Amino acid sequence: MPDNEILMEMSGITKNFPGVLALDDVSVSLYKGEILGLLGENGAGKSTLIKILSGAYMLEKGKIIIKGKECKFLSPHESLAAGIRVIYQELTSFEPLTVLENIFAGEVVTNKAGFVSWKEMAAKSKKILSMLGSEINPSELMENLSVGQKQIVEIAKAIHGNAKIIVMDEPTSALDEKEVNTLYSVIRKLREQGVGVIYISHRMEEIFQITDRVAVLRDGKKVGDIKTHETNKFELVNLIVGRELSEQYPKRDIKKGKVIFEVKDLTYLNKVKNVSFNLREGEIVAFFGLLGAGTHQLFSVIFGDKKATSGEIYVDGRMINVTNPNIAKKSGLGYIPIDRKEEGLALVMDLKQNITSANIEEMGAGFILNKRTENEHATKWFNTLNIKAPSIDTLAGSLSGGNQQKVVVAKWLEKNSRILLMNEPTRGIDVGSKSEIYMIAEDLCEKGVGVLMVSSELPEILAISDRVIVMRDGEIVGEFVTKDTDQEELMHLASA
Amino acid sequence: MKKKSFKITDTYILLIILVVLVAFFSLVNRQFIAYNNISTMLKNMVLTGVLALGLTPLMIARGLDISFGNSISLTSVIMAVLYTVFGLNLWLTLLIGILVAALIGFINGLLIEKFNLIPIILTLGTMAILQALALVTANTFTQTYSILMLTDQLYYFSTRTFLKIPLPLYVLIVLIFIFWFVLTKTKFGRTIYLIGANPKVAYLCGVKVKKVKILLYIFMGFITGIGGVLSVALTGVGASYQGAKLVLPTLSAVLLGGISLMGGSGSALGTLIGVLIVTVIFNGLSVLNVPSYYIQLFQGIALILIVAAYEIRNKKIQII
Repeated sequence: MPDNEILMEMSGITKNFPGVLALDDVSVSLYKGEILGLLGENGAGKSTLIKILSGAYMLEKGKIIIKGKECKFLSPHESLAAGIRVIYQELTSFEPLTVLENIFAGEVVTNKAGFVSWKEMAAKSKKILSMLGSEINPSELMENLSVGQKQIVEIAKAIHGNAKIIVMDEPTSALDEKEVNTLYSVIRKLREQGVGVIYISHRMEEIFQITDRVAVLRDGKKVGDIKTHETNKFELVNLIVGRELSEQYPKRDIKKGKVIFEVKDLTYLNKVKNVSFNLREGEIVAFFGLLGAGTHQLFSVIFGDKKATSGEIYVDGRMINVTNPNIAKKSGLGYIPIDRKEEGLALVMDLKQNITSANIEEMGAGFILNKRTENEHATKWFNTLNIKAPSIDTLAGSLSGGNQQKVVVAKWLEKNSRILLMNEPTRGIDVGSKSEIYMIAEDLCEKGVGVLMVSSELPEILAISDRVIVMRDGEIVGEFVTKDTDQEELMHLASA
Repeated sequence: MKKKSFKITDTYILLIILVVLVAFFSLVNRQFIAYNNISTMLKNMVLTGVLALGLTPLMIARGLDISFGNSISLTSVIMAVLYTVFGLNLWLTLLIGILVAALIGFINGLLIEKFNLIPIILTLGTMAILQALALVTANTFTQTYSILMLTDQLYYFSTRTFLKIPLPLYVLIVLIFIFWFVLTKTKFGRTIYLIGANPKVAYLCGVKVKKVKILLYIFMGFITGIGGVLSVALTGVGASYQGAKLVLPTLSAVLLGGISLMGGSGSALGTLIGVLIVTVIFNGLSVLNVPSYYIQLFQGIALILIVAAYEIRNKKIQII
C-alpha cells in the first residue's frame, strides 16, 4: 500500500513545440510504493511528460520536486542520479552481451588487484533477480531471452542502479499472458520495496489489475486523477477520448457468403504444423495463441514472406503457390504486419505514396506514373478512413500510431484486397483509433471481404470476430464460434 | 506540399554554393570563365556526370558500386586490344566494351543480392579483381599498360562541337533527361524510392526487391560501359589505370547531390548539381595552379565534409 511520503511531484509543467502545445499546465505526483497508471491517446502528451522527467526534454515551465528537492534543470544525468529509470517500449538492452553484463552496464566491479570480479557481479545479479522472483541465469546471453525476460533484466538493471522511480512505457505490448503475470508480480515486489512506478498502457484490463491510481492526459492537459478502485472502465475511456463511446466494440450482424480462402495442412519448419482452416466472405476469423504458438509465422507463410514447408492454400477454390508476397497480393491478399514502423510503412515517404505503394501498377497507363490518379486515389482513402493529418503530402513518420495504422489499412483497401490478414491490428494504438479500425474491418466485411486476424487481446477477439481458432506450439488446438466461448476457455486452451 | 518546398530549399542551397564558387573563381582568375576553359571543364565533367547518374538510382535503392572506375579501366583496355591488336570493327568493339561492363554490373548485383553481401565490401573485392584483369590483359597482348586507340570517329566525336557545345556533353544531357524522367515520372522510379525508403515494406507490397536491385546494378554496369567508351574517346587510349581516379570525385558528387548511404533520398537533378560543384572546385583549383597533390588532399577533405554536413543536418531534423 502506498504510504504518504511523496517521491516526486511535477507541477505546472508546460511544454511547447513549434505549433503544438504538447503539455499545458500538467501536475502529477507519485507516492512512495505507488503504481500510477498514466493514460491517454497517442499524442496526448504522455511521452513528452516522461521525456521531461528523464531529462531528454528541457523543462521550460513548471516545477519538479524529487524527494523534497526542487530540480530546476533536470538533465539526463541528474534524472538518473535522482533514481529515475525509464524502461522504453523498444528495449535498449545490449543483445550480444550476457544478462550480468547488461545489469552492470556502464560499470564494473573490481577486486583488490583491480581485475574484473565476475564472481561478485554474478552473485549480485542473482540476488537482484531472485528478489524479483525470476530465475534467469545471469550468464545467459541477452539475445536468447524472451521479450518478457529482457524486461525483467531491464528492471533488475534499474534496481541495481538504485532506482526510486521506474517508468514503464507499454511494458506488456509484446508479452504473452504468462509473462504479463510474471511482470505484475515483479511490479508488486517493487511496490513493496517502496519504489514508485509510473505505468503507461493502452490496455484497460491492465490498468485495473495493477495500478493504485490513474492520471489521464488529453490534448496536453490533465483531465483526470483518480484512485483506481474508485473508477470504472467506462469513466476512464470517456476521460481518455473526451467523448461518449456508446459502443466500444461495434459488432454487426453481417451475412456470410461462400468460402473465399482455404488453407490445408500448412506446415512451416516446426513453427506451424498441419494447420487447416477456411474463411468466408464477410467473416472475421481470429487466431489466438501465446508467444511461440505460431500465429505470427502462420500469417507470414500465408502471405509469402516465409516459404511453407508443405501444405496448400486456396483462393476461391483455386490453389495458389505463394512463393513471395507479390503472388499473395495478386491473388487478392492484403497484409497488415505486426510491426507497422518496420514492415508496414515507408516512414520517410508521404501518405499518398504509402497509400498507393501496393498498387503502383494501377497509377496510370503503361510505365508512366500518373500523379493526378495517385492523388485522387489517396485522397479518397484519406477521407474515407478519416486519417488525421494536415494533408496527403504529410510524411507517414510524423503521424500518431493510430493514424499510421489507418494508412497501412488504406494501402490494402487501395489494392482492393479481398482477404485481409491483420496481425495485431490495434497494438499500441489509442482507444479512439481502435474502434475506428474495428469499424473499418466490419465495413469491409459488409462488402464481402474476409478478415483473418491475429490478436493477443482476448476482449478484442471476443468483440469483433465471428470465429476463433486457438493455436499452441504451432498446432490448432481448438476452434469456436465466438459467441459460444469466453475468455477463460480460450486462455485455458492456449496455455494448457 | 510541405515536403516539396523542403526539398527545393536543399537544392537551392546547392545552387547557391555553385554560384558562389563560380563567382569566386571568376574573380580570382579571369581565365576561369573563358570559353576555352568552360568548354574543357564541361567536357571533363561528362565522365563523372555519366557515372554519377548511373549511381543515382542504385544508391537511392540502398545499393552501392565502387568498382566502376576499375571496370572502366578493364573495358577500355579490352576495347583497345580488340580494336588495335585484333583489328575488330570499331562499333562492334564499343558494343562489346559496353556489354562487358554491363556483365560486371550483373555479377556484382547477383552476388550482393543472392548472398546478402554488403555492397561496399563486395565491390571492393571486384575492384581489385578488375584492376588486376586490366593489367594482365594489357600486358599479355601489348607488353604495356596503356594501349593507343585512335580512330577518326572517336576523335571527331570528342573534339567537335554542335551549337558551340562539345559533342560528349550531349551524351550527358540525354542521360540526365532519361534518369530524371525515370526517377520522377515512372512507376519504376517510384519503386526505386520505395525500396530505398524501406526494403522490407517494399517487399511486402509485392515488389521483387532483389530483381529490381540486380537490374539497377546492370544499369550501373551499362552506364560504366558508356563511361569506358567516353574515356577512350576523350583520351585516345585504353589505359589500365584510366578509371581508378574517377571513383572519389564521382562519389563526392553523388553524396553532395543529396544521396544518402541509407537510401531513399536523392534525385537526378541533385546529382547534376553535385557533379557541377565538384567539377567547378577541381577545375577552379587547377586554373589557380594548385598542385595536383593538394587537389587530391582537397578531394578527400571535401568528401568527409559533405558526409558530415548531411549527417549533422539530419540529426537536427530528427531532434525537431
